[in-house]
Amino acid sequence: MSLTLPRGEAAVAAALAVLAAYVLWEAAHMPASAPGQPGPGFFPAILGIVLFTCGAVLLWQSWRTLKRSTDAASISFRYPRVWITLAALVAMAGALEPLGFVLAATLFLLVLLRFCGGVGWTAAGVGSIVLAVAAWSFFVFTLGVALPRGIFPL
Amino acid sequence: MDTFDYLMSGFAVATRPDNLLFCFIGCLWGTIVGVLPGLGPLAGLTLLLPLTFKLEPASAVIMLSGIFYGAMYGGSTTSILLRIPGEAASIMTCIDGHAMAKQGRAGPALVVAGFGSFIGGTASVIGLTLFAPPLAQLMLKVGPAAEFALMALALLVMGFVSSGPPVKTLAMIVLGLLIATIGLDPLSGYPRFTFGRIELSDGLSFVAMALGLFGVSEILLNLEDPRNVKPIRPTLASLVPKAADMRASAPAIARGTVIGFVFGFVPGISHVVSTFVSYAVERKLSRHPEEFGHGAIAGVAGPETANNATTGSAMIPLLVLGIPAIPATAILLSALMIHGVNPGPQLVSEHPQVFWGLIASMYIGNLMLLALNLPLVGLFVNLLRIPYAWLAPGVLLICVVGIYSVNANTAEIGIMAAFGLIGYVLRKLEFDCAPLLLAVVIGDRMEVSLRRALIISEGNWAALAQDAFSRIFLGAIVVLVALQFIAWRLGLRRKDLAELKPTDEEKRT
Repeated sequence: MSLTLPRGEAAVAAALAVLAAYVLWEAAHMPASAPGQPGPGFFPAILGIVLFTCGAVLLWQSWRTLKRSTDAASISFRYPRVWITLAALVAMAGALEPLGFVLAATLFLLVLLRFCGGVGWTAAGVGSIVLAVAAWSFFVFTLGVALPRGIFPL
Repeated sequence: MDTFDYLMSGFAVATRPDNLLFCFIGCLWGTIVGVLPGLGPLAGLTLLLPLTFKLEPASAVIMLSGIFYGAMYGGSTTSILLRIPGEAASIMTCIDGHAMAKQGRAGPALVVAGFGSFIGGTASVIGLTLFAPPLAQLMLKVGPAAEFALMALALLVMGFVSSGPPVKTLAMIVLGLLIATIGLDPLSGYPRFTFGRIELSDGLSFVAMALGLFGVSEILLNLEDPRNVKPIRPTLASLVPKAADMRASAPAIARGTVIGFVFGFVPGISHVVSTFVSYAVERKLSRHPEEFGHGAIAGVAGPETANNATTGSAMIPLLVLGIPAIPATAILLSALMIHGVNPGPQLVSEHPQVFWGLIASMYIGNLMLLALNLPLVGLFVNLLRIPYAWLAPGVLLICVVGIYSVNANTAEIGIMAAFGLIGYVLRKLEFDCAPLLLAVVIGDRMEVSLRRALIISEGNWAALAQDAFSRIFLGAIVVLVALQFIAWRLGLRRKDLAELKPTDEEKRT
């Protein structure tokens, strides 16, 4: 996916306006306090109004820019390495406790070294095992951080 | 006995061999946890707290406070080298510190940060020695209205410092304040924006957000084309700051010391606010404000000094009033109470060996940290020699462990990834993430102080400007806005005049 800067700004502005509308709706449904006393919805309501205004102004500004310029540079989001890294982080969050730190970290490093860093399979395999075990030893034995053991005794 | 005699008795306690060892262990541990992303002073103090139970009170608090200011020193390292703030107070250091590292000037940035930290830390301990009791009494007069005005001033300063356009910056600030409202309402306990999930009761983890918005997003941007990230091979000469660097840093360090010390009294977010006030002041006073954000050494020296100068003054409300000014000092408070020492006005008279021993140990600790950190600059800078294909996965793994170690909650790794994506998209679309993160830090406190002030005054908004402190802060807001408006009008007029003048081409025709 790729888009121009004003179009990207417009998308963020629209998202902010929708978020602000949701915040205002939620704030309106929060319980009221005694008269003259601000309740839990008071601060979010103020922020919702300001955020909605910001979203509207940004939307208007980006619309004006879009009308004026026709040759805005395009911003690309088509970078497989970025999405592989994010997917690996999410997978790490899911796998850390069931698999244990050493196995989950080995797989995490293997994927990143091989597919994002372009390191060969052998170096990536050996490197990921060595780094995972070294990280485990340092954090557990030196710093006393409790890391999940999972299916391995380590 | 006068202050000097008390201080000498404190040195007698702090220079005992066992206490020197505990001080060194605390400083070393603090530096290690400060350098590692995610493990800030809070995690460092919490992890070592149980080990201090068997120590005598003075030794325990000497070791724990060593961790506290050691982590403040260490936090600058990853901010400069990898653009990963260990904690909120290091956010401003990331901006110019990392820009310097990218230019192959990580050595001077780290050395100046080390010197600034030492000077700021030591000066604030001198201030702590001299002014603790009277200033603590004065601080009691800062009510919720003044606190709210101070937060508003801090956000306004942040808006001026930000590199983005005003509307984008305001949107980021408001978004940050909204994120801070997630969780239980601090006054009524009502759950807000939690979607019925108990894990969100305490709000979103700040560490996860900071690592995501700054650290992960930086790695994602670099991974678009890792060939652009060339390993930096520092030479010995490039590690040493030049005379020009020291000349540019010296006034920034002096101003950062004063700013950090003054802000350290204000409970809550003083250590964070002081860093961006210092950054704003340096940019405003600089002859080359355009260099800020692109590797200005004053942008590293000022905030780093301010950050460490708060450590001494933040101890004043803790020791003299029993009020923890920042979260890390709350752990110190609990450590003191576990040992049967109740901080407050009677601490100096009831436990002089603890009070003056701690103060004396802070002088020694700051010297130890300087001696510990300067030789390590060469070692830390060599991190940049590692090829990015290996550095990025390693840093991400440390971030994962750092975030997991805080609450043993894997969901926070997911939150870090989500904020990494948000930061990546926002930065590509030229939104500045620093105001968002700082608003998250301030938000909770800002809301509480506003609502408390309104509750006390029964909904009367004029009460926000009734005491002297709030008038000072509100006055500063008015002056800043007026100055900005005048600068904007003058800028417009100059632009109009420039447009009216005929160009060279028009003159020729």
